[in-house]
Amino acid sequence: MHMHKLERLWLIIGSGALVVFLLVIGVNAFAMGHTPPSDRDILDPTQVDLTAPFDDPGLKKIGDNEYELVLVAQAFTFQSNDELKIPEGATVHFKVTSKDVVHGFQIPKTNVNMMITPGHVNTITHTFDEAGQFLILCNEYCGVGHQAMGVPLEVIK
Amino acid sequence: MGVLEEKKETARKVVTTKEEGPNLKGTMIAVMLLGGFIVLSWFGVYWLYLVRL
Repeated sequence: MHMHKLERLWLIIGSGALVVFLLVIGVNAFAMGHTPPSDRDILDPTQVDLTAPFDDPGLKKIGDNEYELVLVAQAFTFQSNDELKIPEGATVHFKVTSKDVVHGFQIPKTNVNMMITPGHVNTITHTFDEAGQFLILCNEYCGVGHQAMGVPLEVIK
Repeated sequence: MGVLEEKKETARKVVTTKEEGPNLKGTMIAVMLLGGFIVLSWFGVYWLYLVRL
């Protein structure tokens, strides 16, 4: 088949990009253990209040400046029994589920941004290197009170 | 001019057109400029990810 040399070059670049993308995904998933926030961990969304750890949502210290923050997303708030105050430099493992519909979970100016799907334990980890006021907000339209769905998170010195 | 010679003439013309081919230099430059913009925007997004870590 006759092919123009520039067309061949273009096809090589395009196929090369595809190979690079697949390699990046493969290395991320299999070598670095990167998984989507809504992974294999599931629960009954109608029994959230009776299922650990969501029966007692809040902040738990699990290591040296390492915390687990369990939250229950529900129209139109994120439930927690503790005040959301963490020290500077803390690594926080967020564990969130929803009692009703799909919610969003975003902390602006960080990479924390995931969907909260009912029936799933949605996890994400972030290290707060700088002190300040942060806001956990819902970025997935969930109903008439959606715009009010947000809770403050304070990182103290 | 005989019928046979006329046929030959037509065949030769077709071959000549094929050898020249279309000029795709401008197309290539345009596509690469667009590609460069897309690649730059990928690095921009990656930079955003890194500064927010």
